[in-house]
Amino acid sequence: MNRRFFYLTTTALTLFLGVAMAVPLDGQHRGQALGVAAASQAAAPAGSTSRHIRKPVDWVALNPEFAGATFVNDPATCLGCHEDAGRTYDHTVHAAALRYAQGSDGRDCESCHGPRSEHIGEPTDVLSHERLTPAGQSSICLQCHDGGARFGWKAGSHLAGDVSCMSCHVVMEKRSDRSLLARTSSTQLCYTCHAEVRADTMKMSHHPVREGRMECASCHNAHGATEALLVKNTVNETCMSCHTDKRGPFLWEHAPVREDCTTCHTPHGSNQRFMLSNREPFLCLACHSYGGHINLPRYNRTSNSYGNGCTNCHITTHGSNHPSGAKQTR
Amino acid sequence: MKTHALVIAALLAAPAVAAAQQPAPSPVVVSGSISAGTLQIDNDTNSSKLTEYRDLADRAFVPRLTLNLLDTRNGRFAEFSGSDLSLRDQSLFARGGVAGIWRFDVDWVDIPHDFSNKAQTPFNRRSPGLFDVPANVPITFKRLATAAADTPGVLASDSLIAAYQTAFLHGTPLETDNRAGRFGFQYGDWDLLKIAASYNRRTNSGTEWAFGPIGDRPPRTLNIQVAEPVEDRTNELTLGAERVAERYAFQLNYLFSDFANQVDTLAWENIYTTAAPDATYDLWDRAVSTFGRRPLAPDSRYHNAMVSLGGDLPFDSRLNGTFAYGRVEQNETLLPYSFSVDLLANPTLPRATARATINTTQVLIDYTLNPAARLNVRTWMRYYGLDNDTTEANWQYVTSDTSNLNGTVSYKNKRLNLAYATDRTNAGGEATYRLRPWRSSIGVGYELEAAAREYREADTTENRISFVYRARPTSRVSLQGRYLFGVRDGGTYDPFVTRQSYWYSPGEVSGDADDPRRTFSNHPDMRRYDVSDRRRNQAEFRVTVTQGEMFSVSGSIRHRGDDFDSDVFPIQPLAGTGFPEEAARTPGTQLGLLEDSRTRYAIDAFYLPVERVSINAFFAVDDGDSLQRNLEFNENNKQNPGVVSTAELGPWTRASSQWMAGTSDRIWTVGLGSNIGIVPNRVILNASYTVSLGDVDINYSGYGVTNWDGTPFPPNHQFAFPASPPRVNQDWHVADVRLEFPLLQRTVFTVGYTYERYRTDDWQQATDLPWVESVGSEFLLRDTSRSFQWGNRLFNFGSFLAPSYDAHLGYAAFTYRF
Repeated sequence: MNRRFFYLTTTALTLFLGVAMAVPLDGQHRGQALGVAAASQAAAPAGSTSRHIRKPVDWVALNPEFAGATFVNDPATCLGCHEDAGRTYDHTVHAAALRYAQGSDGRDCESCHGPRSEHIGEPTDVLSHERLTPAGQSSICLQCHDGGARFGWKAGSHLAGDVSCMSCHVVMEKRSDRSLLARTSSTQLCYTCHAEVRADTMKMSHHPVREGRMECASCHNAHGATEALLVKNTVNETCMSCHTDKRGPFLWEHAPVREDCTTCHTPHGSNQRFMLSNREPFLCLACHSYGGHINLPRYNRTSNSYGNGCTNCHITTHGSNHPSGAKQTR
Repeated sequence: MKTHALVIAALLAAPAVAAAQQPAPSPVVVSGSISAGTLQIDNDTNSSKLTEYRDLADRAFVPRLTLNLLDTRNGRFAEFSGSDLSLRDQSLFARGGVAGIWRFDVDWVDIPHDFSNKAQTPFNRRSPGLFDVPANVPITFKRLATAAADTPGVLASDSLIAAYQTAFLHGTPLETDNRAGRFGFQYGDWDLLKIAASYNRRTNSGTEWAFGPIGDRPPRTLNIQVAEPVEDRTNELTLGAERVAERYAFQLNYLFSDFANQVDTLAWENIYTTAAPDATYDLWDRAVSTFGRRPLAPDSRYHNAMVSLGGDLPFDSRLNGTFAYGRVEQNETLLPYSFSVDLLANPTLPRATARATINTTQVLIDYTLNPAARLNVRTWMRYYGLDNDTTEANWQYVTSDTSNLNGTVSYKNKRLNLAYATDRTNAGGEATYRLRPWRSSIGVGYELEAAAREYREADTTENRISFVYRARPTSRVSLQGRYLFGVRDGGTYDPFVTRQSYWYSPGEVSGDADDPRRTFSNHPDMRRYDVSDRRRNQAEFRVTVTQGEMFSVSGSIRHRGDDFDSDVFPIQPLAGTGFPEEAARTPGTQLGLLEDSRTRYAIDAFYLPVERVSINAFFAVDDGDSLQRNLEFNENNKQNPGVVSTAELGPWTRASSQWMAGTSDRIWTVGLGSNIGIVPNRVILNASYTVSLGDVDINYSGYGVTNWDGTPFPPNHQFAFPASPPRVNQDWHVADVRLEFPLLQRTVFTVGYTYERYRTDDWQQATDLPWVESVGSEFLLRDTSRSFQWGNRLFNFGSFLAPSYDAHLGYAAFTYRF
């Protein structure tokens, strides 16, 4: 692929977006284009959409049971029955934002729970979020949060795997220091589905995740669409955002290192030193067979105590800046 | 002292803060908590493994502090939380602003990394990056060439080394402190844009263990372990702007990152040399430098600019596109070829700096749509291009071994720095269709990955197909199965690619038998696994059962198996060279990593039998297996393998010089925890127990266990390796019990006890093996072959730098909530 490809791609993408924005939407989306949710159009005063809602949802499209429902615009009515929920909600950043900061339009609860006039008349769970698809649940949150780290959410593997915002966040209660997570930390939260990763963090060589110095979110963006949902676009960019001493570039590069750190490392943890994917010197010998000393685990004391193996001598495996660094010994 | 002061201040401050909110009702809501406690530790071996990433010591400290303020009149808020305040592992977090409008946040995380509390060395730090020794070992048998073991000169040196250790070994710290701080600001009250800026600063300081070839002469090791200084900082500035509209969004981001290493070089004295008069080297059977020196990580600068566009389109679809450009560069001043510049006849470097630049370009496009009811389609394209703009130049590989006494090198050590580059494209799609029965969905996906590489053995193309099935047969049960099959094609593998890294002229070869440009470096039967053919099978099954808030259990099985079989067959690497043995064939059996698999089982359970008792448990097994093959041969007889046809270090054509190693790497992890409300919401007992049992087995066969003709090698043979080296074990047990109960109004007293047991048994760190003997002490080990040709004068930091331990930790803390 060459540079011309980028220019063509970027130009095509820009044109596509431009045309797409000019194309009239189908009926389902026209309401959104007008800035008012369809279900609320008839009942709510014009312009009543809260200012923080940039992408209002069509509640009826999400759940036909909303048909005919109107916004009550009175949180006190909700709290009449849901007092406990209101008490915990008061400590959340949502309360700070929706109730106090932006001059509440009375839409506090209904911003997320939809028009509730029918629910007040007949308080059942037919309008519950539980009845929505994961994408539907997420679209409620994306009314305000469709940006930042969530930019790639709709294309990401979590949503494709039926994970919704509600799978990981409890917006009515502050259980974590930040981000209204369902657990006290992002790590504990991730373990609920990725239990096998917890075993990795128990291995001899690991990042300080079990000690609480790092979290899964240090490397992964659960809302993204990158490979392995990394916080950066590639493995190496993610690793080198902290391990800046490894990024070089070096006069003498070690090609597999430049291409992908995980060629040799398993970042979730390893029973080998330095989170290596195999024991030295066997790891090196999986690719190198120059002859003589290099090809045996014993020779040249590579199996010796305290020794790294090959890297006793070839110490600059991440790259060398020495004029005699061709063999990465200096 | 600082800690105690902080504790006292915090304790004094807590009631004051609480008092400030006594007059009710205030529009400013203040809440938070402060904990102050003390910790007592008994670590029987003072192992650094206990404190690897934690600052644990007998002391009073503030384990937790939180403070939240919210002005209900205008939504202004401020939050602060911190843990382990003032300790080496402290973390702080603060943020404030007006929710949804503007916000600042501050993060600070300190991460200690303790490598060892018991390392010993004869080296003294004279200045940053310079280590010398108080005296030299006055050996008189100064030879690097082959000589018989146990000669009187060698044995006499042993006595001198032992005496030297007694006189000069001393402790050396091996620990680093990583401190990362971030200040960020966001403003989002404009309709047009939301803007953000952040500044990050990371510093690393301390020492970590590293190796230095003694003097200036790798590859003949004579290595020592040295405490490499770590003193660097990274400053980063990130600027961002974003617009989110009803139908589209875009983001602009720019990152500038500056890495500065405070210590540019590491220099260490050769313990065994005494400089010749007016020289920087000692004359043994060849010149040996009195110091070794190598550059440390270079200063570098990184720029990354990224623009992302996204839009909602018809058919409930979304198109996202990202274009990113990155540039990383460095221009560090080069060291000379050798510390002993007075030894070099031609010391001129082709250029004065290491000047290197890499540009990266990325294009990411995602399009998701719902073209029909219940059908979701995701498509994506990712391009990553890495252009290496580092100028290639003609260099010499200069060491005392490879250079002549006048400092010039042979033609084989004239090397070209290759500017490796790569470019990778992934494109694929996945369609998911929702079925009515069991609220299930079925998905099928396809992805193509094409990677092109410069100066590598192969370009690769991989096709992957995947299937996924998800179902919720009842509201309490969910299932998921996933399968992926991938075939990577390494195309035409070029085992001779390293020929491009030499720059000598043909006239310099003058009939040498091992001209690298005409023979090979890596054995032609070797396939490097990152660019070889690969067949991947990956499967996963997961089930989750829940019973409301009362019970949940989930289990999963994951397996990934990679087969690197690349259809290797015998070839004639010398064909066409005109060498007498140009018909010589390789065995044609693939070398390198042949298979790699990993299977994982995991179960998580939660049970709430009554409201005041909860129990959780987890169990996981992680089992990895790999198989590899290699071939031992004499690198000096590539052109004429027949010359060494019956030699121990034989020809590259000899299949009986191959060895195989199968590695099995497992870990079992079990955890059990409970939370019991003895008096609900007041007196709470927490207890947990976690155990992880890890082990590594290697099954080794072929050359090394026996000679090429099947004769067993004695254990002290320099090529000998056991069929089954001792199992490596790493076992960890952690039991914790903690009791919380109210003491005064708003004050909770917590008392706890933790027991940790760590056991490690690792032949690679042990001193009691058939092939290891010590000289003087464990701080200088050598191979029992007693050959000193390739080293055997290795000063180490000691065995098991982070040894087994039993540790008892008792702690007590008051927590005041307000």
